[in-house]
Amino acid sequence: MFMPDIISVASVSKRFGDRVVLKALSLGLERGSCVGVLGINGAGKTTLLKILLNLESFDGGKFMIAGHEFAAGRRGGKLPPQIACQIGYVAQQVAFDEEMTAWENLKFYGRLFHVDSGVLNERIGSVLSLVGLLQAGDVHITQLSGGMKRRLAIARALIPEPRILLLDEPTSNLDPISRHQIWDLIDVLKAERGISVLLSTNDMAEAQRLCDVVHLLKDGVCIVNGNPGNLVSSLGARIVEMHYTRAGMDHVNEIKEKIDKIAQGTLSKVDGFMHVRVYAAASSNADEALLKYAREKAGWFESVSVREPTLEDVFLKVAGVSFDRDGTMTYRSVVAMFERFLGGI
Amino acid sequence: MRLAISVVKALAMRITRLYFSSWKGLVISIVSPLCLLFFLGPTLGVNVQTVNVFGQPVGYLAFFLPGVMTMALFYGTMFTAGNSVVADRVTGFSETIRTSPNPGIVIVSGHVLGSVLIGGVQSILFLMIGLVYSPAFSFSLLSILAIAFVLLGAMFFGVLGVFLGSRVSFSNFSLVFTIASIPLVYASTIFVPAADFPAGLQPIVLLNPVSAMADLLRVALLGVSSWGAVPGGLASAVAIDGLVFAVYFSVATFLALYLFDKFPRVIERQGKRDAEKKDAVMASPIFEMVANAIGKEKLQELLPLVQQGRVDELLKHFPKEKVEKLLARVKVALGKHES
Repeated sequence: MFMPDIISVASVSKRFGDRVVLKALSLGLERGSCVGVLGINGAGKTTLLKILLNLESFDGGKFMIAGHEFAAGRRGGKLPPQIACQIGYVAQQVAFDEEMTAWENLKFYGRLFHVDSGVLNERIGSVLSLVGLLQAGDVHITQLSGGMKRRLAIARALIPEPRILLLDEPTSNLDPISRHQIWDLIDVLKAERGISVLLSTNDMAEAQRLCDVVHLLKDGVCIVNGNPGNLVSSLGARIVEMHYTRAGMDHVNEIKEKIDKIAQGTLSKVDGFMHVRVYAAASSNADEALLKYAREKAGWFESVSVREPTLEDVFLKVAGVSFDRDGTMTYRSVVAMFERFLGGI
Repeated sequence: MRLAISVVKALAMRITRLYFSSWKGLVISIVSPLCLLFFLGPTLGVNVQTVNVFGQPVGYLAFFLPGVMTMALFYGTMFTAGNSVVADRVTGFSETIRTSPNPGIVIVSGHVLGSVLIGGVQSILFLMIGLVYSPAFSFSLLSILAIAFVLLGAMFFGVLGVFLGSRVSFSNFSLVFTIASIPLVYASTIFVPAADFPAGLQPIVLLNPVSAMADLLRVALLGVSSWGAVPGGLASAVAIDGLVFAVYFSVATFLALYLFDKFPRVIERQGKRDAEKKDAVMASPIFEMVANAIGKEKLQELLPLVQQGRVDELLKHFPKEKVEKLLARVKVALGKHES
């Protein structure tokens, strides 16, 4: 059955000075579905969400949200009240009043969003229960963990009973348990409340788990879109991950030449600093040939593994980049790596 | 309308709650005028026992108390309103507020009302202390009108605070606030009557909104005014001060609302700066980024060993202390990048 899009973005462009942040981006969000906007930091994901919220203007194209159309050149400003109440927004930077309890924060938000005082307390109890924080209602924000704050932020966005949720990297920097809790919560919101979710993330596993459709952005341009499962299947490959040893690092060029020779015409590869990720055509036996080669040169490889592809492999292949070569590995990850190392000494 | 009032009330209560739950702000805002009242006031009062407000002698402490109340109202409202706007922007809370279904005037009104409540509470506290300390006050029907104008003045200062908060970054707010507030405080009748200023400065002093507020409080509490010489006496003086505030309030409200409407552009400028920073990161491969901090050669040697966890190999080249030093330098670079 045809479901009309609750968000429809048509050729939206945005630039900051000389830098193009979004270039003729188009996407649609069907009612009750989850669409992911993926990309590395700076790809334009957050900017898109802010444009939809009218927190930022845009330079070209138009978009429709909850039945209201906005064209380029609008001066920014605020969403019409009837639209604002239909959109729940969870920002990347979760902001609460730390001196207040979780309940008080939600109560303030409810009043800000014109929720009738007669139903507000009941609504707060309901959303806190939904996100598993009912017992934490009287707890001050300072005493909540990062994962609890993110769930509370989602609860807060649900107070006006929105039809659309815009989630900006809702699980970044969270531990695996908290991430899964939030993923389960988003599943429930979609299935039980029929909420449409537009998710901005750079976590490919998250997108694969949650999204019906993903749009992979690179430098503000959508480089590929589709259902995550279909995108992964369309690779038609198995992934061979080959990690070099220190000795292997001294023979990188030789290894790469050999890989090309073994699997000429049947595979592609993405080079990393310490490893090579080979997309071995599923119809060939290139993966077995590579494993054999790795056994022959055991001293050059720390580890070699063959696995099924993921959305991350799709992104790396389509974007033509390797994660640790294009700046995704930031200072912070380097610091974390050093600290882990120092802890191990 | 009912919804708008409810939102203004909610915003105002939030600001007062946040303010009074922070003991630092409370202490600073109360201690400063208290020092003036208990140290500067009596000290000046030793030499200047009475001041002449357009021909009417007034005891200095009685004259000074409305000045201190003015300071409390001025700083309490203007700083609190501005600071609340800036703080919300820094924490990201302003995005939450801006995505709500409320027009700018409701949001600005909430900030202003909250700050007026804070300034008002402090000011009343000083009045109570002052009544014990120097009880020679007289109230009349005109006092009620004067106090109504004082509230208008407090709102003006609140709006001025929102105006500053909307324009100035967090790091510059205190500096800009100080620069803006010093001439307003010292070219006012807080400490001395307008008549004691050089003749050329008197029009500036009399039209200073801080003077207007101090003057209205003196009308309300003492029955004297800097405008006492005008025809019509105190009633005319109150009308002039009220008019001064009405003009200032209108201009400031227009500016604050206009700039609040422009707020997305402020965010966009911030977005542009963020994008430029990200550009700097994204354009550089990991080598170049960290190499700036620890040197390319060292990094090339160090990273593979760290990634592979080859502790023995690494320690041959880099003792633990040296690795710790390198880490510290990377952290410094990280801080610079994120600032």
